[in-house]
Amino acid sequence: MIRWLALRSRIKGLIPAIVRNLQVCVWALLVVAVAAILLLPLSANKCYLDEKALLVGGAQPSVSQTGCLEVCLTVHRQLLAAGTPRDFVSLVQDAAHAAAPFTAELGFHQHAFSASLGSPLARSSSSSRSGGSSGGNSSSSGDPLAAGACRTLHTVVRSRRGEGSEGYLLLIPLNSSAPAAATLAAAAGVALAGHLQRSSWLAKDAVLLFADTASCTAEESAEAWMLAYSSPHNLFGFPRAGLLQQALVLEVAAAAAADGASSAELSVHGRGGVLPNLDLYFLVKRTLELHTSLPPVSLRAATAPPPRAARLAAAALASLTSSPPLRLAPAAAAQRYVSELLTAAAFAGQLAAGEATGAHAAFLSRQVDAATLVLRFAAAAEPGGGGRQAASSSVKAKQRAQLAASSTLTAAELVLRTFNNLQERLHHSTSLYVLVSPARFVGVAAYLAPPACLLLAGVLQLIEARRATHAAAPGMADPSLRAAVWKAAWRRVAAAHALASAAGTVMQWAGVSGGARLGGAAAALLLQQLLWSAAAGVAAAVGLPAAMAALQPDSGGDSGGNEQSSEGARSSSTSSSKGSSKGSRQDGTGAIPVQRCTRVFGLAVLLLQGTRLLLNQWARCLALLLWVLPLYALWPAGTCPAGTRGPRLRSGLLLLPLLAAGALLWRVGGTAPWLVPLILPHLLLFGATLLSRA
Amino acid sequence: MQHSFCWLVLAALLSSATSTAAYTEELALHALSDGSVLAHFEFSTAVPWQAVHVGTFPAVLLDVVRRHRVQQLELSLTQGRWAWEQQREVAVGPLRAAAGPRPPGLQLKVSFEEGAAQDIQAAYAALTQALGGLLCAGVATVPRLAVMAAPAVGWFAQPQPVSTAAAQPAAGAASHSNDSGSGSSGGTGRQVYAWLAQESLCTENVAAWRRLLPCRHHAGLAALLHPVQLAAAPYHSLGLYLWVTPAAFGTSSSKGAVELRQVLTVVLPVQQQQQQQQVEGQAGLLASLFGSGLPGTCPAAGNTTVYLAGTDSTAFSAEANRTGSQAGIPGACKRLAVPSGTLLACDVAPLTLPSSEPRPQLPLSLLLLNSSGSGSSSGSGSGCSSGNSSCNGGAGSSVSEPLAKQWTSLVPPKVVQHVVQGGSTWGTLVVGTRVWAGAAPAAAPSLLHLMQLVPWQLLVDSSSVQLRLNGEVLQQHSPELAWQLVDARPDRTAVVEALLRLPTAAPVPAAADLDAGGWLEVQLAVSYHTAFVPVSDQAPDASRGVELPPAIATLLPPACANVSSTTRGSGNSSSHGSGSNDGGGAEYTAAAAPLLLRLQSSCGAWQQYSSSGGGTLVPLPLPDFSMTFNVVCFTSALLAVLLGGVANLVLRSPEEFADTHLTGGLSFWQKKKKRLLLFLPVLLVTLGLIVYLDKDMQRWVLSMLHVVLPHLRQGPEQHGEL
Repeated sequence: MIRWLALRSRIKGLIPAIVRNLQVCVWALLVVAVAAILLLPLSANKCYLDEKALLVGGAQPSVSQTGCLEVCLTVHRQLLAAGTPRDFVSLVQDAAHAAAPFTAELGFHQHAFSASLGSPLARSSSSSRSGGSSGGNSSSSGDPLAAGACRTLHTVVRSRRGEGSEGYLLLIPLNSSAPAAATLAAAAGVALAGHLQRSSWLAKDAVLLFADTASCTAEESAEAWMLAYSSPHNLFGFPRAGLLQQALVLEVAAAAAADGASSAELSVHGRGGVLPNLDLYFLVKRTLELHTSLPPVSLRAATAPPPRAARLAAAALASLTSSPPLRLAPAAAAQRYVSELLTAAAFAGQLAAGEATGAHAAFLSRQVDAATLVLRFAAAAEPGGGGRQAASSSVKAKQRAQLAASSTLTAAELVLRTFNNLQERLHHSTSLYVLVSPARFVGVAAYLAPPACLLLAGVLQLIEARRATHAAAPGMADPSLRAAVWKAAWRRVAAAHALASAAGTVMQWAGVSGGARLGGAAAALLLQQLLWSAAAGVAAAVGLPAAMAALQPDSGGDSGGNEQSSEGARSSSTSSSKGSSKGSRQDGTGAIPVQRCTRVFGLAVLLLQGTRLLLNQWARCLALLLWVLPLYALWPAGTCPAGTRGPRLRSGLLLLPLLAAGALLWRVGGTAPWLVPLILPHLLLFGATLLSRA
Repeated sequence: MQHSFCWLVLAALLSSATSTAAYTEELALHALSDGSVLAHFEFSTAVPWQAVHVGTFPAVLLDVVRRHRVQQLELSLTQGRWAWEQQREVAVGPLRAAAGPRPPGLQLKVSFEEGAAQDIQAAYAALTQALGGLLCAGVATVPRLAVMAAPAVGWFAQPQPVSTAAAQPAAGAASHSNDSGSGSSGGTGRQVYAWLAQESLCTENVAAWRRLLPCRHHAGLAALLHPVQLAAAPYHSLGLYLWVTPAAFGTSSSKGAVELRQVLTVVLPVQQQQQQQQVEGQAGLLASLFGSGLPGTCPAAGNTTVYLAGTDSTAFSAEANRTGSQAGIPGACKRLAVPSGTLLACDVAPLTLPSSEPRPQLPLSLLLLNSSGSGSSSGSGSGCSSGNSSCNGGAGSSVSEPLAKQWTSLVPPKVVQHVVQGGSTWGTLVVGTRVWAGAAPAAAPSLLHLMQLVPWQLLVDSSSVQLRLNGEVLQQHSPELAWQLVDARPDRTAVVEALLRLPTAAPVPAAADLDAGGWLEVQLAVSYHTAFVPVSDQAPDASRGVELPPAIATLLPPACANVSSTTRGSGNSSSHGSGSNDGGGAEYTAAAAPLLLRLQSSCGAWQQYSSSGGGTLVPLPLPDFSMTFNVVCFTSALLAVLLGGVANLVLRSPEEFADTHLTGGLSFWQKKKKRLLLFLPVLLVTLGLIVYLDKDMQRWVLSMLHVVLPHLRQGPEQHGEL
């Protein structure tokens, strides 16, 4: 107890010292933040599976036992032997026809759309049934497509004992301009569908989706297909599988290496910096490691070479840490550290850019955990093009085809089987991570340390500014002046929130509608939000009494409003604020009771609507805002006397991370618009305060 | 002499009182085109309401019914789903009225007697406790976990014909359709529907269910049920259907009898059937399908019959005669005509008589022959009129010709359910229903009743309900819309019900392709947004999402208004039998074969669940509070940031930060008091917010207030209560 009291008194003694040396603390925090960023790779952990129900490695591949592998090779051979170039639809139908005894009653649904992503996609659909024991009499109800249109074909393999309320998806892009890879992928997809039909472990419905990537990218196809899947139209013609929980995009491509070595590449970045659950990434990687002979998986985000300046800096850092003067680590460890730092930078840069790295982004943006797996084989290389190995002996070609088919089918089967094992969505692990290498990651707790240091530096800087203000203006002790300052601060807070709410509404509108026509209920909701924003903005700009007076046209509310507005702009004056309040009250007394009741009633309805809206949608946010709002009132920016000087350099430095956070928020706002009204006011007010100091 | 005569009379009275419970066992088999076999077991019994000796009726169940004044009860436990294509095959066969699909999980429908109990909720809780103990199932968790509602009418089989019951709300629809969503519960509250998806059918449920039978698993058709075999089936469903029939006119009691039907429907998988075909030469039909033959009939059963779906009457009878003569089972099987085809009814009692000779067997070829023609079976209902001597249909021959024709074009409705997610917090639920146009003949419109329950976690916008018929929006006063009810209250399961009169259309040829057209399409759309779900009210598997119950579509052809039967499989087809009943039950006897009677007299009503029974998942934007690590992180972070940092910043002036000694000369305790006073409003606001957001906290506060202020009647209700 005595020791605790002593420790407490020491801590209490430290606080005044810290307060007296705030500037030093701010600079120290900035240095710590930069150092923490550089040391991020040292805090990385090895990837692991947090969700034990995935049972990765708990099942052995069965594609050989059921004959799926043999069917895939047979279909591949038949399609290659036919030789004639096929378009997308005929390729899939021929593959289903060739695998007919194995894949019984495989009905494909064709979905067509235009290639203009970002605008409403014109769609038309037709169904065709392929395969079947009768020999696969494919029939299409007419091809409604114009030349150059994009198409998808999908089928749903129903689980015999499942409830049908959820499912998962396997997307296989096919590019008919690369027939070798497309043939292999189509054969593998069709054989896998037959394999799933015969599997007794199927507990959820599986969707097999082929996308034509000759005219559109795979991401465009996935986006258009998801739009059709989630639309209320064509309920009976468009086969669905309930709520899609996970998705895997499986691309088969020609080997990139000159020797034709096979490789595997994973990409996880979605649009706006969205990532899938880390478990999904690692289960795909672990499955490939355990059950295929492919080399270690690489990350698509880190495949591009870093800029020259970054490479030079990294080399210098590596030599510095391993050279004799410092010798902090062995050369290999230093090299690994630098490599991980570059990978982390590339990964984080991709996140900050908000650009997707694969077709899985279309699923991620709809809360479906997804990743893209690219498998490169020599067997998928074009004979005429850079694949010298493909033109070698037929024995080698068979071996390569066997390797490619086996790896593809095994990976797809076991990944889908792990999806099948899940009863809930992936939630044990995190979606907030930065991969520093394909096998190691930095968690959110580690990479939040640098921003936390920056934010703490900002807070300390504000305290310092506040102290300087009080030192320069001793009149702040006057209660009336303090009250005026509080009022002015609250007005700015309300104005900032109104602006942020309006911005969030607009972004939500754009994000929700996606350019399409809104439904009546959604439009009414958004209109309500806009009205509430406008009301809060008016109240913030001219003050509540003046806003009420403005509702009464014959009481001179206009002039009062203008007066209030002008006075609101110079809200540092105490007397003017008081006078305006009195003036508006005097205006209000002349109103007849009916008008006053109408005015009060209208305002009450408006307030109630706004409150209901806030409580319904942002109940949690409101709880936080109630705590955070008084912060701003303590540091009213408008009361900064002319004699108070804040160091421009420091304020500018502190503003930079805020601007960066604002930019990031703008990117994130596309996917989570509700964050905008929550965070933007704080950024605005912090920024305004800092600018006024500068 | 006089003394002995009195004893004789007394003995006769007692024997009449104890022998009132009739018990029958029936099994219907239908081979499907993909090689699987539909098997539907039905065990029926009945007892007079005032009987002292219950006979074959489960005494504990009768006690529950009497104590809680249950009028009607349906309970089903289902695993897997029955594909619509397979249902269609059965629908066009003679066994179409035998079994209907059930949604996966637990489904419970209860109707209490009018004025039976003051507190329906208490009676319901006690009833679920009793049923949970009877079936070893989690029925007791229904009041807490299931999606529950008290819908108006229509979906629940009424004692009177459903069409009549539906016409009653149709008449009063105009009066209360306008105030939809105003908070009225719609129905009388005496009937409760509950659905619990998480409760799956396990082997112990089957064992407990069989213990309710008089012979359990030792004899009778129930001995064919092997739990392992059932568990391997893609679809199997067991159920308890119980209802109280009214007494005959002039009797003292208002209740006649309590009828109970125990059913089990299973689709035996393809592989098993193929394996059993290999032993066709050694084993008979039952042994081939179920792995073992019938050890013997249940002595308590008055009738033990196996029905085989048959279509081609000539070949069917020839095969029956041939195999019957070969197997030595003359007279065991009879060919019967029902409105939608022909079936073979085989009494299995002669097959199980103890004798030294090998027992005769029902050959497997009987079933396999039927499977070849079952897909195109429609229109063969007149096979009985060919003059075949084995046509011993009785009631089957009395089926009217128009009714028989109507069956020829009847296809089960197809219902799909789809959630259109507009964002993480709102979306639209769309239910599509397709009714084969041939089901709506030109004479009179069919009735289609749609019901969709929405859990309380999703707040339904009652003004957004929209109905479309063949793409055209139905307005409130459209002639096709008989009535519509939306009960959308916060913290309650929302109910959306609609009754439509399907337009009369030109008859569609029986041979028309189902994919080509000829469907009437009804679409129901309703918007929702997610409610704020407190941590304590989240399900243990909250990350899975909210389970949306399947939509229920009930199709009522015009014939249902004339035939005293209700929805197929609803447990209440009027199997009153040939005997009359009175309050004393002395003369009461149940039907000789309730299933057969239902097959012969059903009007063709159909109750269908969306997507073959499975509901839909709706994800909620929830953090995972179930993990300890997350809970600790969230809680400690909030406490540290909010209580520690922000409160300190708010309550301490900059002067105090700069120098704690320059605080205006206040003493230590004065400073503390000042801070506390400043902190008080913040604390009050926080507490108010906590109480507002946390339902459990509200309940706790109200319960404390109840202690202080006894005039407060009761605490806040739970989420999802009735």
